[in-house]
Amino acid sequence: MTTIQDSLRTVRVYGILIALLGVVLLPFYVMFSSTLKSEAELFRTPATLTPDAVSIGAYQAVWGSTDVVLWILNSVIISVGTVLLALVLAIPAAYSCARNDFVGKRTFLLSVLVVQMFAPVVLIVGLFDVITELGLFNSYLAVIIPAAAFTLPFNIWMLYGYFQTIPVALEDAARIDGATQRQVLTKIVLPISKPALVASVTYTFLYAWNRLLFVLTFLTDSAKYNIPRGVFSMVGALQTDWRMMLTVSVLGILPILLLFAVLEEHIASGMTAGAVKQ
Amino acid sequence: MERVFRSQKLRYVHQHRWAYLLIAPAAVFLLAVVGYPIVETFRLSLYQSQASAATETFVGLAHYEAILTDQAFYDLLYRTGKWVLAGVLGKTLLGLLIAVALNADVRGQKFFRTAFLIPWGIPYAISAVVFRWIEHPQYGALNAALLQLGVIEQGVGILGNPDTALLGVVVADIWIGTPFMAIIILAGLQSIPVELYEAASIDGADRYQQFRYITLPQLKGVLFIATLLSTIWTFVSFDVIWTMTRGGPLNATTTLVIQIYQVGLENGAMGRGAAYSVIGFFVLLMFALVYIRVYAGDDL
Amino acid sequence: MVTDTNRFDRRRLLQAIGGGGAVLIAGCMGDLVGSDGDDADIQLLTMGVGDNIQGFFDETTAAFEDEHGVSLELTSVTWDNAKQTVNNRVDGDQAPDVGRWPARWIPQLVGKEAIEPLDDLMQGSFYDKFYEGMAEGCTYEGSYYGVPWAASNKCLFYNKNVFEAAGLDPENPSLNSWDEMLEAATQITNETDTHALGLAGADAIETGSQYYHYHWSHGADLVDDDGAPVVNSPEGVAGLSFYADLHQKHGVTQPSPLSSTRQDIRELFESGSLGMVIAHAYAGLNIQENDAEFEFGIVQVPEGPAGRYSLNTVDSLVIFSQSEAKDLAKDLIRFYYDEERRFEYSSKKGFMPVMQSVGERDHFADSPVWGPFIEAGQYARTRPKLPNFNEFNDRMVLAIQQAVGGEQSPQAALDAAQEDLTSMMNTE
Repeated sequence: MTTIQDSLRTVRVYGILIALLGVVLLPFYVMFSSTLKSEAELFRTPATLTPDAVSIGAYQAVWGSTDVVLWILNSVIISVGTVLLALVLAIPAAYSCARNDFVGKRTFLLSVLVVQMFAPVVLIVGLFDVITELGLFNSYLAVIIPAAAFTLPFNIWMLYGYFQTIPVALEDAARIDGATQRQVLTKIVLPISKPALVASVTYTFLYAWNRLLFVLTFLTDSAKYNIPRGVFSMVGALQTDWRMMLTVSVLGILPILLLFAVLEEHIASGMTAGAVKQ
Repeated sequence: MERVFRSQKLRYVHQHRWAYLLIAPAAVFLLAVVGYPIVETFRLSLYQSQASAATETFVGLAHYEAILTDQAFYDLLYRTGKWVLAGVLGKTLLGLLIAVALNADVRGQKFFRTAFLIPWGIPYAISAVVFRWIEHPQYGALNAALLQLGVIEQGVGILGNPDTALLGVVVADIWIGTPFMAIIILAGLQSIPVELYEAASIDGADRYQQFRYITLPQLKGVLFIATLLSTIWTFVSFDVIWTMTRGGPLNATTTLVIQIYQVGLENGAMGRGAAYSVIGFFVLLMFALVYIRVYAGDDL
Repeated sequence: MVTDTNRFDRRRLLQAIGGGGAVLIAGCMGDLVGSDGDDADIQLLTMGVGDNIQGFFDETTAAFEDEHGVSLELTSVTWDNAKQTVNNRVDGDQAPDVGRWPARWIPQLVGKEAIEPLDDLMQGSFYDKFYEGMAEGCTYEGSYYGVPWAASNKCLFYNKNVFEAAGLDPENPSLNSWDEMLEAATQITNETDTHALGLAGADAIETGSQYYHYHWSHGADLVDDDGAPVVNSPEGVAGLSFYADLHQKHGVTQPSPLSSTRQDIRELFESGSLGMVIAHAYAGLNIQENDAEFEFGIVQVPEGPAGRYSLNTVDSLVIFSQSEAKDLAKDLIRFYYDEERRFEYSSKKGFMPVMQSVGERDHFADSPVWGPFIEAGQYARTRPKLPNFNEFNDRMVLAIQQAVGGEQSPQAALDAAQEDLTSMMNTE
């Protein structure tokens, strides 16, 4: 009896999952199938829903005539750099707020949110001065530093929420055993917080991965372009090669899928806790 | 060892020095990177500047007065409100639905969880290009599908009609923002102790009641932070609308941020653009304060 | 009260706020990633380098570097971001040395004292290389601020197969006036399933560019000799009425013109799904290159009651005042105006030649695509050179959308635009 109910339920769950996935992936399907169409078919009216003749010409062209590998590499450098910088700053701050009650804590947490209340397109003018003043124009850090600043709000709030859920008793026990404060953080708190850290890493990594504005404004050296910048370098004055743009975008997802697959185990349980308790 | 402090304040700081030292790097970093741009935005909002001149004229609060006394600003705010509400609501509900489905213990979970994240891995501007393409009146897949189904007779331009354009861009925004929501809500779901459900089913609660009286209350914390951040992000989001419609047609998709970009950066009236930006900031700040107060009270 | 806020003040403010933090970050990290240290000797910023011209720039960059023993950094930004990027870089003291810049935007940078007058370069045999009109297009307040780099104008393309299907003469179509164009469009609409005419109506700069043909040829202007807006003259209303009626009354355009940019309608034509469109020469080059399954013809933009105009755009190369390599910058400019290089650029890229000797080559003179465009030179008309033309154009596009969308009558739309533009020009 239960087994019948269970299997009915399983079928229903699969039905819902597949239906939802279909809806969510439909735009991606359009994107992907467009990369397999010929140039002429892409502009056919009305559109074809499946490619008439599958052509991998766009992939060959992207592979042969663009710096797609370089762009992916640069995206990785920028994302990894942003993750490191953001976490190095966010972890101590979040830990401090979770474990202490002090004057200015509320102001600090609120001020962190304020950073996101101005659109980056507006702040970019002042940000330009900062980047130049620091002598970072045209370096990776010119992109990493703003990206880290804009991801700090989520990271600090997320980790703050998680650290609060860790019993103080655990830490006290370690202290009695003679652990220093730093050891408590690195040996006790961080390992327990791995899921939350994975969540932060994912968010920050993707934020930096998808960011066009900073690269567009602060990097002139095409050897440092990331994927979005590379994609948009294909927008020509006279013609925009949509197929190439979409193809590079599809290729750009592959490393991300790899990352998701590796982190998947942690992603879900990681995000868990974060906001569990304010 | 015991040190003597001249003032209460210094003693307090000394006692809490670790707390302050640990937040210091983040605070100093944020101040150094975005402190100046923010202050500069405030300063600019008091000046009249032009794209074509190196000089600026101090005009005091003139920009604020001009903006706040213009009916067009309230239309703009209303439109921005619709954009944010529809976007956040859509992302949250869809995210909730996906998260609940993903939380079921079935084989292939790993595949589904990864697949649902795909939209998150595409640069926003590209997703917007794809949606503009899908909704294109001539080459669009949406029109092609509707034509094949016989729903319409000739291509309709969702983004070309002032009545439907906002919907057209909101859909793209929801698609882009849903994976984040789904994942963070899924995380919240998994942190709910199984015992709660077991106790509830012993008490005879049905599935809906369990969802209503256990799941939702337990998700409150997750939903609070996710919707708060999502509201802020949607309010200041730029790429999607700019790529798809540039705020058109007939300003039907011009939100505050689009207006800021057009006025300040495209037309070079930075002072006025900055004033819009400051007003937008205060709107968001008030929202955040009220929201936090309602959720957390004084217990932040 | 006028305050001159110079860079120094802002920098002080920045340092005050960033304080130790900025120094700290610079100290800790500045060394990790080389930045200023490995800067190129000279930077060139251009827009929209698509894959059709990438090779040209790769080769010329290498050749220039060899010739002068320097490093040249080429940056290409999209047109969407061009203005913002350049202004940001000028404001942030990071201007490139040489930049491509539309001639109509020259006043904006001159006002900021961001670019150099090039009168000493634009003389003698170097000056003589250019078509006079194009060189003059790069002047502002009596000085040359740019060297013509690329130019474009417009003609009317028509699809011969569509014309034949509609029972129209594909070889000698009567498309001399707007009324004749409308007549042909009506016949196409009645006789075929193809949309007859491409009409731009999206919220984009180019919607203005497409419309101005109608505005001017009806005898209207955008600004008078003193630079005051005059968009709602009876002639202007007639022009916009004709434009809007193509969709509203006659229904001869593609559906949903308010979602169509100029690029959309050009692509529609290139894919054979449109009867007629006003476009640049490269539409023809694209069709040839794609081996399209239809024949096309090119005629002049139709004439209106007050004449015939072909919207002309000139882009130039400018030298930025912040450049520390101005002599090298001039060398770079001279380098690019070698006849062979210009020929390669113009022919590959699909822009009008700016050098006479290039334009006279058989490639252009004998080409079925280029012929009509060279001829259209006599109808060339540029948009007014206003420091805030972008804002002006934005407001016009709104009025065009109101009329094409049927939200307001052309008269009401232009009256409101006139009022807004007048107050806009007075405050700035």
